[in-house]
Amino acid sequence: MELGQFFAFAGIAVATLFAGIGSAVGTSLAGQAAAGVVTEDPDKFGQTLVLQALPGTQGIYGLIIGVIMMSQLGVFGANIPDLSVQQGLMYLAAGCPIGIVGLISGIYQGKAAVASIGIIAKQPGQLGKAIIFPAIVETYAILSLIVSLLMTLGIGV
Amino acid sequence: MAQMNVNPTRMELTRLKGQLATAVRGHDLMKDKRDELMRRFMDLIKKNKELREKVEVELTEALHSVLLARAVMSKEMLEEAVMYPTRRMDINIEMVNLMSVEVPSIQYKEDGSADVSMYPYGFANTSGELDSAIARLHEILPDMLELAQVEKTCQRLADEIERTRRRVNALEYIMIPQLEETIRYITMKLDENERSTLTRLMKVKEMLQERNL
Amino acid sequence: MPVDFTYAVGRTRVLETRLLDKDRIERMIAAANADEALRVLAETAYGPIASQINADEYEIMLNARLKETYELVRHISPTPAVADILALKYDFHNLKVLLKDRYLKQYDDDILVKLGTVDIEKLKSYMQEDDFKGMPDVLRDAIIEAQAAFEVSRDPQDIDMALDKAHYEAVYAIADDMHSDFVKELFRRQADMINIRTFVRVKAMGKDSRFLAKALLPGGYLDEAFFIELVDQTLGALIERLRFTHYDGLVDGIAEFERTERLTAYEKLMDDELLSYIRDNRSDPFGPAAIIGYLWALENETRIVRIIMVGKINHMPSDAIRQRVREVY
Repeated sequence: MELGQFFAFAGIAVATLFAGIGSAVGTSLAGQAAAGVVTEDPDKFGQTLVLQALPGTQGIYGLIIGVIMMSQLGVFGANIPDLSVQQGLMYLAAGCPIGIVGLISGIYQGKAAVASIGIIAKQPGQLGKAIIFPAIVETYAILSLIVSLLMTLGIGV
Repeated sequence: MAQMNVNPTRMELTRLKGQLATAVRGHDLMKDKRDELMRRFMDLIKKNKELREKVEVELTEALHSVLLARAVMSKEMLEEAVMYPTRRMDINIEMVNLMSVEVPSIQYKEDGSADVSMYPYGFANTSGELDSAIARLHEILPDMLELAQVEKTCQRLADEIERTRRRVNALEYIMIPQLEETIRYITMKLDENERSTLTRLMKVKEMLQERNL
Repeated sequence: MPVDFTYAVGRTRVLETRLLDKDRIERMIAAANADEALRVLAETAYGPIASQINADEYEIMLNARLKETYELVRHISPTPAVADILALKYDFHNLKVLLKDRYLKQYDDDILVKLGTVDIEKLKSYMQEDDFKGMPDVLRDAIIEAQAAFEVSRDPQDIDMALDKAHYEAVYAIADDMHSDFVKELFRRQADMINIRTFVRVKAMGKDSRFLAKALLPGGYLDEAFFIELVDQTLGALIERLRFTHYDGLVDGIAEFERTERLTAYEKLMDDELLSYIRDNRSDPFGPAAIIGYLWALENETRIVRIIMVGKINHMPSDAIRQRVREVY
């Protein structure tokens, strides 16, 4: 395998790996808090589940970028086209925004979701407001998703 | 008025007259004693009332403080705070004679070295309300002891006054009238006897004169 | 990585909603008598016990509620330290009782409290056999120190004071291990507030600065020198000095003491200020603040219920009770 291809794969890995870790940590944090609330008050399962799921999106964004890159590279086909080192590095660069921002925003969104679960614990009627706080964090994951997406499409093979 | 069941003899009369004299003198003495007891009793009652009012006011205050301390501290912590008292009161009760009445006299001595604080607890987990409760209770203890003494004395005196009054009454309304009645009865009886003896003698004398004629 | 309290915080958030609220407390205060006040608690967490006891047995109910909550918090927390830091006061209470028992040669077991970190049966056997090896270090050191102090002076107050000091040292040690600024600050503030109260009380008793130094707790922001300097001055001077500290909110209580010679107002302010400090910091969803806050709030709540029940049983007027009742969490 040539170095160009290696870098392109590294780009896919960065996008899915770090965004996935971010989501895993985020949902786990929110999940612990949600479990705490549901232990005392099982009726709040639905509401807390929504909040727990919020930090899960980063992982999905990472996956989207990864899949798009893979389809561009024709990973699913019989053979992988040759890539120059420069092209490979461009894939790596394109994977970075969603990878890094996904990691960090996933964790922090998780924390915001935990705090919002605290709201739900006390004021079950405020789900709408409680969702907004972690959702703001989501914005930045989406922005990086867009950038990663445009970069990936811009490379062209 | 009932009279006593006695033989109307001269000896009995002398005895009863003696008794009457004693009863009358006793009655006067008893009356004096009763008056004196009453006077002292009135003084004590006044003192008792003052003390009782004072103690009641202070005790209410002190118990109010205890109550407040109780409200802000748990039962266990409050009891721990006061479980080891640093002051001891040695109380000694003696009986003294007041107008032939045995009344108590309470002597007390506070025991405990002066450099050991009166408050036997630490300050971190106790309420400030406890301090004032302890201080107040400590303050009124001498008054309470005095009150106990005065109150008991009053009780004893009241008993004694009652007894004396009954005696005075007994003497005045039963004993003396009875004696007087009996004396009068014996005197009358004796007089009658005398008269009948006289009559008999006169009669005998008359009969003798008739026989001599 | 610091200990993660996320799950426990989630649970306490719900538990917090089951604390008594202002309305219910107001209804208790307004109740016609003690029985009725107790009945107000029927639909609360106190309900199961409240329905089985007489009004004058409220202590049973409060103890049961505390015990249940301490157990729950220990169960849901990743570390027992959050409960221990508040439960230590019961251990030290038990030590005081047992130590005094020993010197008085009597056994008042019924005033031991079962909420401490060490089981009271164990504590008793340590004390009876005079073998402190199995005891936690802090308790062992404390008891040896208290014994030494008492043997010199024969003053039971020295037992309490030595143990109180050791208690706060132990609390700071746990707080340091927790790496939580909030917890450290909380107990340092509490020590300060208690020290201010101690200062006022010692002054009222007419004791000297040597005695004051013995009575003060360690570790507060206001150090010993601060108080010693003020011993010979009026309470007004203390008030002036406190105006520039965190304890500005307490000066009314001291002024009230100057007028009435009662610390009722100060003690209420003290409890309220600490509770409001906790309330300001309880939003941290990952740290121990919310859990300690919840336990603290529950203890505060038992104090409120106690004040009301004592007041009702003794026919205190509602207003007098209301004046003394603490804020709610």
